[in-house]
Amino acid sequence: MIPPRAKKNVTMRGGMPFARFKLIAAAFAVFAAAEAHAYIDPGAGAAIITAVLGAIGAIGYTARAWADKIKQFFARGKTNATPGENSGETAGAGEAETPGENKEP
Amino acid sequence: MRGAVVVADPGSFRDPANRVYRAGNRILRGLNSQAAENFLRLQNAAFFRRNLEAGKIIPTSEVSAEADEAARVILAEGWSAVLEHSPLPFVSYPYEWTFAMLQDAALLQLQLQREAAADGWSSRDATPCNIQWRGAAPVFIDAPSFAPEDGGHWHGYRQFAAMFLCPLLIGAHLQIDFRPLLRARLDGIPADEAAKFFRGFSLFKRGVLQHIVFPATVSRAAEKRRPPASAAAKQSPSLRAGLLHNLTATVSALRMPEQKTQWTNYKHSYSEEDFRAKKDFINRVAIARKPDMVWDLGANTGEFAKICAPHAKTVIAADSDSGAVERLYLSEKNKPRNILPLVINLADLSPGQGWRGRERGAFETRGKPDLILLLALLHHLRFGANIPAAMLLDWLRERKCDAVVEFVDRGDEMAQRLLAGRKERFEDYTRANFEAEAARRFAVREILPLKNGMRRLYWLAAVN
Repeated sequence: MIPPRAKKNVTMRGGMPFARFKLIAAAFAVFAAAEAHAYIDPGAGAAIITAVLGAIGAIGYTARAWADKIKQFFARGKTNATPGENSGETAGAGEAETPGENKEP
Repeated sequence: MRGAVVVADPGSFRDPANRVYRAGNRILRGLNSQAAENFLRLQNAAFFRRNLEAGKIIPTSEVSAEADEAARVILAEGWSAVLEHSPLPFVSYPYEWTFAMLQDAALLQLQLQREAAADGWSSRDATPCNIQWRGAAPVFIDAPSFAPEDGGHWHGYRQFAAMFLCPLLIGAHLQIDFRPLLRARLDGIPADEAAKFFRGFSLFKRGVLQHIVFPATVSRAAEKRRPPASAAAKQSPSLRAGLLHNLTATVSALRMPEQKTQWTNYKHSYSEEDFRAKKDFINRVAIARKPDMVWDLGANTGEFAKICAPHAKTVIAADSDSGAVERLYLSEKNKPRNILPLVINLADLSPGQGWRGRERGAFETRGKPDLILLLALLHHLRFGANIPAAMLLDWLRERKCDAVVEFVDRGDEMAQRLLAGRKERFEDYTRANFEAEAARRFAVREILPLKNGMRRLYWLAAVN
């Protein structure tokens, strides 16, 4: 029922590029004429509503992608710092994420 | 196919670009020239093909008018092309779904919109009526809903919020039953109306400020200025993707606290031996009838619906207890079975609604059952909703099919529980009366006494 959040993917699903935080500025400069093909009433103020909610979603997504990157960075650092120990902690928690690292000389 | 009787679907008229028609069991759709052109391109879109193959979009293909009279009739109505969809076993509406069903339908709509956006497409609307069920699996049925992305914001957002998100937020955060609200408002619960439900701390629950309070405030302010410039505004792909991410995260996080209703953990009052005999009886009837469609009314968590499922094409497992139906849905949702769980109260069946009372079909008009199970429900309808057995048997006879009805004697402990506190004694509710009324309307095929005669199963066969 609930799709798991993609932890390592730093682009939106479907490959849409995420221009980090600069899009937040773009959120408020989006109003220009375009062809509308909707037959339903999008409602008054729909462009503003969807732009602000879109920006919030984009910030949330970007922040999580960064947080995951930082987590990965430290996880990798931990493994590299103790190459000989081959800690069970790393193998247990990050087995799928770092499959090849313990094989490095 | 000569002499095809083609009938326009009374619920399909809102989108001027296309219209659904029925020709016997076939489901056809007329498209205007723009929609026909779109569909030609849509067939090659990766997201469309992928989801078609995965069964998330109903099989849809263009019909050649040359050898198809029904298609010619539709073209003569002024449409430019005709599509054919695989027929659905049964059409249902969101006011008959459980919380998890509405949530899963919402997630399918969002997933398709997200994948469509990646290929340069967008859905022009977002209504749960475009999502139906095959068994307990949601399927998107309106391929022409997709059009090439026009660079604007997602026009379906407001409809998505009113039809999916606001009902889910009201259900998850306030434990208010969203079904009567959706049944009363065919266009859903708009943000300004939904905002009236939230007070105090509930305003700060997930998604409420963003998707209810904020849109309601902006809409109110924007309505004061004429004309609203919002309908034709460009928006960056990042913002559109951000909105979909926001919606997906919000919808995914919502949970309806487990409903511990009287029936979710109901333990039947039978001995093991009697219960096995009851199951065998139902199994025997199902095998004998080989029904296309079974309606199990008062299905609880679907024990007997599951017995019928292998012998039927479709089983509608309906109960007025949403907690029991939710439990059935969650147990069925990942199984490739043919049981559709619905929240239905036999004493208050979904009526025909909308334009001319026909835009949304009444429950009985949406399918023809071949077998109806009415197990341990009669006494509830008599003592709880004051519906006399004769009236119920009239309704059953109008369905023109066999039925298995369980009569619970008033001496049974469950009947006694319902009668306790009632001054009305329902003197007409006797086995002799029931049998006489049943025999007037049906051929009584077989009777199985259970619980030392306190309960009896009747196989009532339809007579012409």
